[in-house]
Amino acid sequence: MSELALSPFREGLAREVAPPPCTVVIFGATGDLAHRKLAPALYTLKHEGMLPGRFAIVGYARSEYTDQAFAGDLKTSVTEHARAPLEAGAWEDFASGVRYVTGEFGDPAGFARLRALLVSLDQERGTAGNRLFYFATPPSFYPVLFQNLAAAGLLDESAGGFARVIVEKPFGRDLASAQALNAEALKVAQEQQIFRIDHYLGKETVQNILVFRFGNAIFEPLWNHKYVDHVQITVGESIGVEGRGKFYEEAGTLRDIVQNHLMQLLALTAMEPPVSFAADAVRDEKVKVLRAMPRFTPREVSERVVRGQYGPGSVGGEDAPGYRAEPGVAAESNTETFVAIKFEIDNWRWAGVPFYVRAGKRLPKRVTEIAVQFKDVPHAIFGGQGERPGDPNVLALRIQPEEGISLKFGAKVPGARLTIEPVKMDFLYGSSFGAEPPEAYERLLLDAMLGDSTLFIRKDEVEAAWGLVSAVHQGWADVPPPALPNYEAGTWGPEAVNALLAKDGREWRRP
Amino acid sequence: MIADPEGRQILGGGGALAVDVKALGRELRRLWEETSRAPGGPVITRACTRNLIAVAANAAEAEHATRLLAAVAGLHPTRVFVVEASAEGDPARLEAHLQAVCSIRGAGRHVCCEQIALTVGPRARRRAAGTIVPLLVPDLPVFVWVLGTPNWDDELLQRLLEVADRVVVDTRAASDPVALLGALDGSARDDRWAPGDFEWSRLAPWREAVASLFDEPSTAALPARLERVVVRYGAAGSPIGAALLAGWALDRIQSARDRSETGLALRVADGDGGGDDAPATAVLEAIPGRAAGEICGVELYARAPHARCAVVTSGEDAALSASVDLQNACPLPARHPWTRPAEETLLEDQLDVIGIWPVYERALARAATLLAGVTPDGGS
Repeated sequence: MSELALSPFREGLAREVAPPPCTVVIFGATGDLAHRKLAPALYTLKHEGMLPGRFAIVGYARSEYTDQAFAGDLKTSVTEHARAPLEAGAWEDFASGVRYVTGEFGDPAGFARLRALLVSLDQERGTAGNRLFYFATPPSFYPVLFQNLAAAGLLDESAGGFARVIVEKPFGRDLASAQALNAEALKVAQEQQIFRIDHYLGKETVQNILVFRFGNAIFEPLWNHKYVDHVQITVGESIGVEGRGKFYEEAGTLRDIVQNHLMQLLALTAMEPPVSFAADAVRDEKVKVLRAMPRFTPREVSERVVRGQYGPGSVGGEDAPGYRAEPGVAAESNTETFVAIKFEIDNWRWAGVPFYVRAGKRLPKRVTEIAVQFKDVPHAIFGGQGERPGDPNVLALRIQPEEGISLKFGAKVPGARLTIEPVKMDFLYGSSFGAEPPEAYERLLLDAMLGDSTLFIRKDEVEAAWGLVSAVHQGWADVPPPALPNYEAGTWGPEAVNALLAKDGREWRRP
Repeated sequence: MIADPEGRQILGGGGALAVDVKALGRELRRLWEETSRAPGGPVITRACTRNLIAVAANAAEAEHATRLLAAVAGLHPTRVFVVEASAEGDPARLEAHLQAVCSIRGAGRHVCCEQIALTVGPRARRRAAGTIVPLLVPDLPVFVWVLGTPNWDDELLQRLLEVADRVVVDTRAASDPVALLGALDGSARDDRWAPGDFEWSRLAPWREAVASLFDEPSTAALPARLERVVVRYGAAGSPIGAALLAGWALDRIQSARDRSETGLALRVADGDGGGDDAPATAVLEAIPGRAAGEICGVELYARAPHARCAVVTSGEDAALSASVDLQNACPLPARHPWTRPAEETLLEDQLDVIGIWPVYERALARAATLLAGVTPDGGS
């Protein structure tokens, strides 16, 4: 972030850097992502004065639309999903820059029409030849989108304007496909033009992991194998596949959550202090963590990875069907809806400290948290009165919901007896900062316009994460799956998940 | 716990409780203990990020402060004192009322403010200070917000300034705005406490629009070339806003020149790389017929390359229009939505800054210098 030049006139302003004039082009503009996330995020940025004064949005998709009809659809999306209220002045300003191009993603003629429109918008709206292309399409279209953008000359930055591409996850479906897609993209664009998005990194509380670790002097000295017993990272969802059964059959939890969100949380928790908050400095350190995690052998997969699939049960007081009964899911599906893994990081800081991670659907509650469990005191001076091995200090960083940080420690119970009880000290974001945090997509779109890639995934990072995940897939391919479903909806996963920690003398915390 | 008309939750039985001044600390503790034991109510996590003391000279000002504080209470968990330091009534009176208000917006999202209202007679000033200072939450910044014209000789205010990290005023509301601006500048120079001014916050949309003139590559190096600043404002009003805006622009130009000398600035695309070493100058123009004291336009000029940058109000559609007349720069004006900021917004803006605001203090110093030559009817 510090790589960006700071205008002396912006020093001390609410926006210390401002995006230059630009056009945002959304491929897959009539899809769910564009309507639920992108249009509302862009409008909210407009409403809050964060967009450049000269700005346009172009939708590109196969459906036939006029500019006005597309703007009308966006207005509905904004009304339903934007954080900012729909206000006439801001909306009219926003809508005046909305355009639409009908075209196939593989049709060069469509890209020629797009190019002509972008050139005319530069004249008409002063967008200065700056373009941000957003791939909100199924991943199978990414290669052809890169090819056609390049063929139309739309990735060429030689005239001075920027041409950046935001690519939605999943970026590949295994290591080989990620490498192939990276190679395809890098044939026609530079790495600094490609912004691989993981919306988790746009969350304020995820960014706060770095602030918490590196903006406070008291925690970092304890953040290593000398004081930390182990780390647990949980990404739990109470919902099922919510009509995305067909997608989930292809993805599974390992690809959908572990490869991206969970690996990012782990890397941010374990990384060394970067030399600055500049994009590559931060990403260098994250990559080092991922590279320090050995890829599992098939035997290690069987010992360190637990997979599960939910059967019927009850979540939040309501009956929930099993995964195999969800629309679009095969009756004999072996797709995992739950994964737990014991990772280790082979470096100086974390030698011998296991990182237990778990992610799943239809768990008892929606929760994302990182819990750092500290070692016991070296010598029990209170004669065991209330000093129980089961009450270690735990520092929990809650990402969602009820974002905050809690610290569990022991305190003397008032009275003549010396009894120690665990107490929890809570910091809640919502009680300390009343202002609504921006949505992840607002932050990430703005960063991409600014050319700040700190919160986006670099090529080597995505490949390192896929390397770890693909090793697990390979291990699974070598052995028959467990009998699935193996956990009831509304529980914390299959029984084997407890054994994963029990054999190390530990247990999962209840988030 | 009950709700007030705006839906905020009032802790401790509702309404402000009259309490014994000597027992304020104990009453505050009791309030929170009772809340945490309230059956069936939401779980309230107590947080506090700052202390704020609003000093009012009469009941009307105190009421005004209470209303504004209620409007921003949902943003910052604060221990608030509203002090009505009145010259009226019993000279020795010192009365206190206490309440805590929570804005609750769903699971885990609630911001609570404790509000302690004190009515202080002229002979109870020292006792009031002795009541407030021990109750300030330790290790957290102390904001003192003085409504109207500060009476620097008042014993209570003097004691509060000793513990203040930041003192916020509204020069527009002062009887002698220029004198108050000078006092703020003096405090900044002496490093006693960090000054803050609602008038500076009123300028935020203008500063944003002016800054936007230099966001594009074609204009990014222009600031170091600027030589003259003209700020127009409504005659018959305070020139403080115009002076602060001009002072800010001059300071930013100097900052750009300093960077240029150290090689950090970009070069103007068609500039000659040279420049005039003479300091940039500023003119404040009082315009009759415009809202008193309100800014109506800013122009910044350069000779090499020749450039005119302007931000003007566009009255009909509540926007500021920013344009640059420079070869190779986009001639299309950029629109910035603009509405006159509400007072709650100004207070919120001031409370967002903990400690000193360096850009403001440098603008303040230049504004004080500019205003040293201002005639009483405006113009310089």
